[in-house]
Amino acid sequence: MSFSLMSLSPGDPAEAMLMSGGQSVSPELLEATRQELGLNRPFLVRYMSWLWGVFRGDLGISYTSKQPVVDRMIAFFPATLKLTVASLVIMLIVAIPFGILSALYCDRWPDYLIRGFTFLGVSVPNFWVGLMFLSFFALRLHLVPVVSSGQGFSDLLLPAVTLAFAMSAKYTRQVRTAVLEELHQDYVLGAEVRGESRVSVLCREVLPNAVLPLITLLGLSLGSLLGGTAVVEIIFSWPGLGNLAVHAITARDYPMVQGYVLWISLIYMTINLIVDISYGRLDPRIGRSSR
Amino acid sequence: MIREHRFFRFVVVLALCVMAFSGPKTASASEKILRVGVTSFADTLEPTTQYFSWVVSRYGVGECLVRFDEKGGLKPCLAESWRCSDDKKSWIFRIREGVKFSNGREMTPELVKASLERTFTMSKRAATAFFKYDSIEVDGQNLIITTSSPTYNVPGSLAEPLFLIVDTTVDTESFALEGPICTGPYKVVSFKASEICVVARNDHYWGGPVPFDKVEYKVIGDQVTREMALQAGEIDVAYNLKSGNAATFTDESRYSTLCIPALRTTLAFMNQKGFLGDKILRQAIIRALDRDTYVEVLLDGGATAGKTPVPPSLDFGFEDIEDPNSFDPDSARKILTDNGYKDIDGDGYVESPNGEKIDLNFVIYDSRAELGIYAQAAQINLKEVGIKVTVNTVSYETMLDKQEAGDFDLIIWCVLAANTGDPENYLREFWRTYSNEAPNSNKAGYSNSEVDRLMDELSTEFDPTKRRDLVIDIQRHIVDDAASVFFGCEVTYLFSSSKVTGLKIYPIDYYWITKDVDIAD
Repeated sequence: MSFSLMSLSPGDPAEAMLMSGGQSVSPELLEATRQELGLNRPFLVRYMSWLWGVFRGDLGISYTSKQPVVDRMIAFFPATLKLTVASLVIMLIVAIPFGILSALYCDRWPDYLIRGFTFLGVSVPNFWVGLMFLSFFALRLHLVPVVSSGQGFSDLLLPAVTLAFAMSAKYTRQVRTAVLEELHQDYVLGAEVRGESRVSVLCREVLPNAVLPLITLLGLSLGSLLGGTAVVEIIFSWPGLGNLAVHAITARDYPMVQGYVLWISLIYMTINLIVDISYGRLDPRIGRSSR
Repeated sequence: MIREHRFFRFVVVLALCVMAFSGPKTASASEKILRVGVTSFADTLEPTTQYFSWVVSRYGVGECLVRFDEKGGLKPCLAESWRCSDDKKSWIFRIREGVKFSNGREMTPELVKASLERTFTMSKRAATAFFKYDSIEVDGQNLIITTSSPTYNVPGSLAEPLFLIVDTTVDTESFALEGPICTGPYKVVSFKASEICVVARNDHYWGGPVPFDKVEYKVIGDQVTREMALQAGEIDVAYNLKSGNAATFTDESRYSTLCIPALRTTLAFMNQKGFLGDKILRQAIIRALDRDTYVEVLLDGGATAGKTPVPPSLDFGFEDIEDPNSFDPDSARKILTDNGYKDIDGDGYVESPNGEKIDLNFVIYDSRAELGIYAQAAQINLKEVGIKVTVNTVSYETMLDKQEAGDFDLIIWCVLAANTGDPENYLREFWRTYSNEAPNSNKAGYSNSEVDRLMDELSTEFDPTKRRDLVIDIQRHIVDDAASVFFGCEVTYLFSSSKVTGLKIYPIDYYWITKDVDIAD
């Protein structure tokens, strides 16, 4: 599907390469470059050739860098993985306590305050948050660098916090809803009647049950983050897969884009599979019912 | 309880992963380093691929036989001098002695020959866009390039970074990722595409002392981030910022600002195969456009108003050529009315003399913000004189497709007018009559036999003064024929820390960091 869409979309990789300097080129040069890139071959031939390569673990050669697509993706993946892990950790550290607090203090001022944060988080776009964070924490307070090198912890902090900001808001709402739902269950009332403390009930019963529905959401977020987050990566000059993908799309680097699409598909499928399996492990009732 | 522990273990493991991935920063306080913020451009450092040689030149790594000065004139570089033979078919370059590549190998005329031949072999652009040669020979310290026909601008062509001189005796396969071995003040020590390029002092540099141990070119794709990086002192020089950033850098004690009219012209071709085949309508369009206001107010001085094909940054008569269609909306309305363009259906827009509704398809592309500003301003100005324009924004690649197919009434293009210091190719390509014999020529349908004749004369003329006169004549005809709309000529800005000294800005931006760029203590 993506191969067809790319072929149908306007724009010619040969032109994009040859005219990147803002000059026009001769039709002969254009044709020669199309031949060199194999763009003069029929669509089906190109697709079958690509597919055959995929089965052999060869995703082709990038038009622009002339390097194997796999090598390019491997080079950019660690930065994306770092950002993914860091933003998920920050998100969980924020969302779970905030969600619980919001549920425990439902319709009281801590709840209103946290709900205000969640409204803000889901409303404002990532790029704006990123630029505001840069302006405040990097430019005014000099706590972190403006330009990330993709290396140190301080470089990682701001892009991770930016990504975590919107995610935290979304997850806080989910945690709040899930915890509230559990708090209204009979077993909570029963436990409290038996004299168990609120904290004990929360930790032993409510939280494990409330966290389960979040796993699907977490899987989707993980997939999306591992695919690279283009806007944030560009703002923070973060050398990740999102940056690579945007560059490839702009340059009409078809093998690179195709490799990226394949990666995204695989990562989503794998994570969905892991999420499905983990349901059964974390809640044996699901495993039994499916049998 | 077990689940609870699992969850917290998971969080701890994730946190440890972050810590493990976060490596320490490496920096040496004793090294003198210049940090430059750039936009992503080169995917490899192989100079014969695409326009990547421009980057190798800008990074202070590669040098050519000839270079441009701040006015676009030619200056000796790796060639001390050059001359043309009497039959005008051979160019003799005297190769500078005592030049070494960054690996210590001496640059001989034989190696220069090998380098140029490599470029012609590997780059299709070299073979088609500059000159065709019959032979390259070495005679002592001279390099003799013989062309198949008299070719005026061989020295200017060889100043294009595509022809920078590399050491062909080493493993040239490594150039793409490790950088080519060249003769510039710096040599590549590490390169990560879309991330960073670090160059270090070339200890064998022929041109004198090189001030920095290292120069780091950090790719900062976002313009606002690049601006903030300079403000925060994380970079010393920021390239590719625009006039809109100037307000941030007004404090002269902290920042320096350089600006120069560049060699780029933003123009709109008018497709003469449709409504715009009528010169009256083309004249009315140009007269309706308030280009001075566009560049001074809307673009905040980020360009100079256009008038002629060749921008004022090159000395080809910009001031001397009078525009018969300068801004005059009343005159635009009058010539439309006088020539049968009337609003028949009362919608505020004129119909053609034979009653057809006019709605001009103005194709622009989205990668340059100023193009949208020009197009929207033009749309409003043209509405005021009763000409309907629909702006169609597409990607750069789609714009190229539409230009090729002639699918436009007006199509905008920000184009480099003279990458070799001479506008002959540019003029020929866009305004010489299209023919199958010359498929490289314009797709807007403009044709003027006198322009064609002058262009043919230009191609065989070697006298610089006569060439200048010919170029001015050609431009005068194009302007008189109202062939294209010349919106503006881009102004290039360069912002740096005020401590950086020796930075220069060139109309042809092939040179960024040279041996003269230093930093005050």
